[in-house]
Amino acid sequence: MAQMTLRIHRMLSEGVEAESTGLREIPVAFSAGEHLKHVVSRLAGDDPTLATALCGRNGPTIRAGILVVHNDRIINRREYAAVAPEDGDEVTFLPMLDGG
Amino acid sequence: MMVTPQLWGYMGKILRVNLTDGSIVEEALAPETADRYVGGSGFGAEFLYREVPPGVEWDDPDNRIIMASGPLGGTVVSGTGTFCLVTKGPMTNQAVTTQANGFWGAFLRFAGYDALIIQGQSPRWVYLHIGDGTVELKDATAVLGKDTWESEDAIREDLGGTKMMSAFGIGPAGENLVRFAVVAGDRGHVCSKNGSGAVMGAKRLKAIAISRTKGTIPVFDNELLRAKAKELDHEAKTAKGGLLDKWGTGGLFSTYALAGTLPTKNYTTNIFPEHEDMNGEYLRTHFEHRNKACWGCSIRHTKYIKVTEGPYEGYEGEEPEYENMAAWGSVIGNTDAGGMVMLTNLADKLGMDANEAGWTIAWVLECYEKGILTREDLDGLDMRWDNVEAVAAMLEKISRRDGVGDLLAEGVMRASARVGGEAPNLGIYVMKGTTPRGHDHRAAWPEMLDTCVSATSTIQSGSRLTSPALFGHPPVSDPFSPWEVAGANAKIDGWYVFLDSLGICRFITVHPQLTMDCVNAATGWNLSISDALTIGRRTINKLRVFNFRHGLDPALEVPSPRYGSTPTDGPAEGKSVADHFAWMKSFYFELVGWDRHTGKPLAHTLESLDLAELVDDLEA
Repeated sequence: MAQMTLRIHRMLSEGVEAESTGLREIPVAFSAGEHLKHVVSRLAGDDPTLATALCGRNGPTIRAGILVVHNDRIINRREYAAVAPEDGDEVTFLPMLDGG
Repeated sequence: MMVTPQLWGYMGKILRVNLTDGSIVEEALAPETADRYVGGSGFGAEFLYREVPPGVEWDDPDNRIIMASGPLGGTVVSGTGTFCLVTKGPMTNQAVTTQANGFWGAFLRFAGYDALIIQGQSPRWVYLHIGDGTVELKDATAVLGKDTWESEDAIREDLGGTKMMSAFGIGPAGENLVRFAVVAGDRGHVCSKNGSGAVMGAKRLKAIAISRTKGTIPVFDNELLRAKAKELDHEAKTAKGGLLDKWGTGGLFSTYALAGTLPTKNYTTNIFPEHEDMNGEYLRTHFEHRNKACWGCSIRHTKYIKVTEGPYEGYEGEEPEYENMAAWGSVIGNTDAGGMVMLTNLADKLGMDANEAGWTIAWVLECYEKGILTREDLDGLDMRWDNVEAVAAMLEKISRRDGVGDLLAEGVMRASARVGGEAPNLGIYVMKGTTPRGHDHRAAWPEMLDTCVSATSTIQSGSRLTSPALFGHPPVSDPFSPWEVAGANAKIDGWYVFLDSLGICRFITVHPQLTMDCVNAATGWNLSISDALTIGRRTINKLRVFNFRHGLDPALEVPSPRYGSTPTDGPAEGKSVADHFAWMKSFYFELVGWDRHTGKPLAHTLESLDLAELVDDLEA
């Protein structure tokens, strides 16, 4: 199976443990042809912390207020729904806010 | 006998100092002023509008400096040493509201005042001391030329070595009228925007020191305030996943790099791979630290720091906050964390805004690389990216307007215009003179729009700091949707400015309802979040009318060519804000009740905010 890396920012959920960049990295295996939204949905089904962080009350749909970066490029929700990942891909989920 | 009703949450007095004739008077705070404007930014807007008519320029003795706390200032609520400074500033020649944390705001209230109004121009350099029942102007000759930290020490010594004192003032940059000079105090806290330090310098006022006196704040329900303050404290500590508490504002440095909002090498790239070696966690796990708290704050997100590696090993100062880290790290292409610490403290001590100084230096570095400015033009300094020592030398020159420093002391917009040719296209600024904060707003459209149209000379709606979701609105789902961006800014417009009227740090007020609970417990009012938005919008609209009367041209409320350019790499590659900015701005104008084309507040907007008296002013 192909493998990709999901990176979840700790600000998206209190339970997310993270590295110094503020991200928790999760290696994920996926089948050829499987869409990113299905990968995330599958993962969230097994991990309530991730479900809270990414899906909120909207079930498998990624919740608003999250910035999705696919291979270092920001993508919008429509693009997210269409992403069919390839081996070695990285997808980062960040909070859409500022500070400092 | 007529009894004045207790104005809970307020000291009830304003201190007015006329530097021209040295007169010092106390005035009663009108209850309706408290009702309509609450404090801080609101008081500043009210007094500035009332007392600074069109034709008074930023360096005119008739300009005012208003420094005000608010009903939470000095109370049991965390982070309530904050105050807001309002004046007409030299970057835009329009209004600015700029706040600083520390102790000063609380000490002002303990001394018996809600606000200080400074007017006139002193015939000689002075500093103001507010003591226990005494207020006096004192000779500042011995303090002149000292940096902001040395000034604090010298004033402390002049006042007999008192430890319980807070002083905010200017460094060499303010004395020399550098356009982006700041008012700084309490070891690294800064009113940074629109050259407030230059205004103070024009008045020949070096600093304002307040001794810690024994006054107490008359709050309506102290028990309730304590309970709500405790709840708010918990929310603040756990906000943003506890990042602020653990790593300070630098805890977001890497997040910005990943999201494409970390400004890098004057916006010539959107990629800064070294972010992990300079972020908040790196600083706190590699360098030595000790605590540095503001008044009554349990978060203590700032620290003192000692560099323990690299060329600046042994250097001690204040730990950089995010804005400093951006300016003296990625913006100038510096990859040495120790150098970033050193430059942060140098700029603060010289008394200049890290954002504008960073943009100006970064523009010089790019111009040098491209041959637009030569070593000879730059007084022999080798202004290469990453040359920290050359940057330090240039900051010194700017602060004293020495050689080419005199040109750069005007800020990047004016300096680049004087150089001409391609140079103005490389600078990062708003065409009306506003300085953007230390982010790459090409990947953060809400803040770019906010920075350009703000009436405060810095961000006004703060929609990237305050999620619309906190107010029951859906969060932004696409940060590059002009429709969503304008809508998000408009929906929460007023809240951020309202917070600046309270005398409290923004990092504490993370929970709107608990914040309102604290305000109501302190004052005995029954304000809702909706009321707070109205009060904030009243202040915004008053400042906007002020700005129109003082020459605001809404056509200049747009980003400079580089600021509004399209990233050529990184997470936001290809996202073109320029294609949408005009529509986004017009739509925002419409949503907040301003004319879609002229940006002027509509009559019914002003009337709905109880500002009907401004309608004629705007048309005059």
